[in-house]
Amino acid sequence: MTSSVQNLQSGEQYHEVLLEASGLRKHFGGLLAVQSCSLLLRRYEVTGLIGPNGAGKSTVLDLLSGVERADAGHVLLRGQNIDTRPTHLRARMGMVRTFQDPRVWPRLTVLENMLVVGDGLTGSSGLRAIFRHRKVMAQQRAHIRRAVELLAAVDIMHMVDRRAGELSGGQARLLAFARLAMANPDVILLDEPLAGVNPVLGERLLVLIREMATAGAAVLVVEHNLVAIEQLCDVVYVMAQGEVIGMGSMEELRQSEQVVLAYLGPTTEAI
Amino acid sequence: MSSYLVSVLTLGAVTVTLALGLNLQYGWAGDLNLAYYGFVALGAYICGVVVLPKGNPAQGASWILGLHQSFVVGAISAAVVAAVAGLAIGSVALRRVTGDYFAIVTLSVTLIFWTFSDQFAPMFNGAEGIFGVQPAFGGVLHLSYNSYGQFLLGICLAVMVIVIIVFEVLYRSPFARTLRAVRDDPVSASAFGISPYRRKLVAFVLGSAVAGLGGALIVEYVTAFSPAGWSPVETFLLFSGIIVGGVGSVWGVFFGASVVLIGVPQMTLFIPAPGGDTTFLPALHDLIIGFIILAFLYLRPRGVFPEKSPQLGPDNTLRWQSRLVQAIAARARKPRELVGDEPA
Amino acid sequence: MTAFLNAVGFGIVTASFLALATTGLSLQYSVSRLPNFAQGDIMTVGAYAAYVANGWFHSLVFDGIFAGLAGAAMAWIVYMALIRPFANRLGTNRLTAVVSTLAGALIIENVLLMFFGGNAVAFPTVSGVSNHIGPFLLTNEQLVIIGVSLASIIALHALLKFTIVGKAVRAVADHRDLARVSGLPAGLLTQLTWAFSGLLTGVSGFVLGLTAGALVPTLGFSYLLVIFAAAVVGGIGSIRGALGGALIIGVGMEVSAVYLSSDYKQVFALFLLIATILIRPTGLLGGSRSARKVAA
Repeated sequence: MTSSVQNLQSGEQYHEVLLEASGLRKHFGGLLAVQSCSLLLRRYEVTGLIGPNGAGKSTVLDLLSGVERADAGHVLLRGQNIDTRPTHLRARMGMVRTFQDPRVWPRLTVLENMLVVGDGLTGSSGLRAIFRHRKVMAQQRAHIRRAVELLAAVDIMHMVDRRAGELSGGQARLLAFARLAMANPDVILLDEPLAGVNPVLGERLLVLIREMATAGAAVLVVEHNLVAIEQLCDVVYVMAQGEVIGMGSMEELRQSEQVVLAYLGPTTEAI
Repeated sequence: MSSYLVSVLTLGAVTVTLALGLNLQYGWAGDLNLAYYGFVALGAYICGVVVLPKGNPAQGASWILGLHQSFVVGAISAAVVAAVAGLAIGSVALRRVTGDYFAIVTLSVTLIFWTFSDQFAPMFNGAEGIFGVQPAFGGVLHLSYNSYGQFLLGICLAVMVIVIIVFEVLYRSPFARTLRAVRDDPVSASAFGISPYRRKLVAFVLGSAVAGLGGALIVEYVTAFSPAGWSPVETFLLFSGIIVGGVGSVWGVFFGASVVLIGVPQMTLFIPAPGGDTTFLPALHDLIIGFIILAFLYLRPRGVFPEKSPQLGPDNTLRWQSRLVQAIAARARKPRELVGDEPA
Repeated sequence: MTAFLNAVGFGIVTASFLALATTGLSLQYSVSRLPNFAQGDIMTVGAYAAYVANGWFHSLVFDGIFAGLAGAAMAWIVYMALIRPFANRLGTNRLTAVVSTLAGALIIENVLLMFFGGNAVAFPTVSGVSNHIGPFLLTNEQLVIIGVSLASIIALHALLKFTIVGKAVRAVADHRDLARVSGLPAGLLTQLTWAFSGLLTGVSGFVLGLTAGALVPTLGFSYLLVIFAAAVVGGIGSIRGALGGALIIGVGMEVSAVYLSSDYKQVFALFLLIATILIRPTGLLGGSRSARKVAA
């Protein structure tokens, strides 16, 4: 996979920048978690964010998604500054993140899990929706139709009426993905989607992630599984000790001494 | 109908109504609101001072307002004032804290209100409380004592039925679904564009309105209201009904409130108190309720009737059959139950 | 001015028994991360135990010891029956533990009610002579109260800081999983911590009885939120904070009674509790980090 950022001259298609972070900085008490982080996420592209533990990757995700507010720097979503927007408003603008745990809603059924996402998007969660009953019912039918499609695509339709708390770990992850697809966001932030996942399911998830990008989203994947990153990502950012120390394709990064050192220390081996 | 039965049923209908309002806040939204009975008391007081004429301090009756309006005006005022109070308290408390700290804050708020209602006489006549509430619609209908009792029972039952229907409809709507998602995991809910604070606040205000309405019915039934008649413990007793009957389930709460809050006290009435000690029976009653709550928390924390889940129906609709019916139907269709993956 | 000084004096007395119960609560919170709504009733159990013991031994010293032991037993039971079964849950399931401690409070109070009746029982007193201590005028009894409380807290502090058991308890409180992985028997230590907290709380009930002069089963519960106030203001989970919080609340309550009506004493504590939770959940005195995590 070639680095798409620098190859406009060679006739590569220009992919619109959907999310831009510049100079992000965050400290917690005495600890400087993120010193300076700048990155771009483009439509149709899957971007990786890798780095050793403690590099600040999770914090960057939190800063991008609004869980934490940056001390300095800016986040632009489709050109709009969202620094002060809380998480749920960023989600409504089209940026959705996942978490290391699937975080499904256990006492709701699998189908209800999907519908809640639909309700949130069409704004029917309020009391006023009671008075627009016919419209809400029509929307619900459309949501159900789409939900069924997505659940079938990830092969958990047989659990559609079961409470999400009854799902196995793998099924819950698939539901989390289906939920994500239901939201159809422009920007997707994935927090270690393959952590603790068996290889077969992992392959499946990689395919799903790629499909989401192909459909028009900009995807950021924070991961430790470097093989998966190489397979999946168009661009990869490397962070260490709170700053970005490299960006490009996996091959390019492997050439960089700084990156290799950050990951493996003085005794180097091919990543 | 014997007047004793009428009074039990009246209290029962009001208790169910109150439990439903609390269920909205605790069962659907997941907030442990220990101030609930404070809102009930507020509603009772407000309805009282709207319905009563001006108090005469010389006769030991001093309270605010005293508008001498009809019961309907009083009940509406009670619900509105309680809702506004809910908005004021919820908008501050829910924005900052949830869970245990929310419970502590709400308990403190209700205790502050109790202290003021007890100590600050000009407001609601202090420890004496308000009294002398005339029968509802008394100017229009001139009913005998017994007939009025049945009439009031009718009103309370009507209110209860209306609240049940409204909540059943709400439960099947995106409103309740979203609220339950916020309850289960507010962080992932906000990742999908839902504002947990906003959803919880709406539930809090709506539940408070129901509490106020219930309070209005209480003050009309008892014709008086004073600090001796309520304390934070009352909220907890309402919780017992919800925990036993079914957290989040409308009919479960109906069942739980009826059984625990009506059935248990009725049964303890028949136990002889040792040595004529008047505190023994109420203490035993509360003790039993405490143990019942614990038993359910250990063994069946969701209650006898857990909240209903919908099933996917034909033509992309949702069907709402009770799980019991579902299970029976499933067994009838397949000789062996199909088991999916092992739960994690 | 004397009214103010008198109030401060009363405040210190209040703060003394409050400090014991608050330290107990903070100990519990530091290992279990849950507010114990039965804490007030553990105090009441201690008080009644002292009352009963006084009927047998007629010695204040034994009364105090008995109160402490009864409190320790009661707190241990509360932990085993009400906290431990629900302690590992998250989200709304945490509330189950809170509700269970409320149920526990209800049960304890009503058992006491059934046993001892609702009428106040006279609590033993210390024959009172007023002594001049600095600017304050304190009776013998009040000196005993302050003395007992101070001694208990110093003893606890020494225990936590200097003994192996104390250090182990602090380890569990700070980072349970790490402690367990390091080989410490976290479960046993938690039980021990709760028992210790109960010891303090029982003694505080005894001291409360001395202050109040008469006992009713609801006595401890009426102080529950005041104890919470002291704990939260001082920083919940912090032992040192418990002392500071108790002082602020105790003295504050008495002083506010001078300038406002004394009927609203408790309201002062409640306002401070609410304000602290909403504005600075880690407590006015800094306190441990743990409160911030749970407030979310």
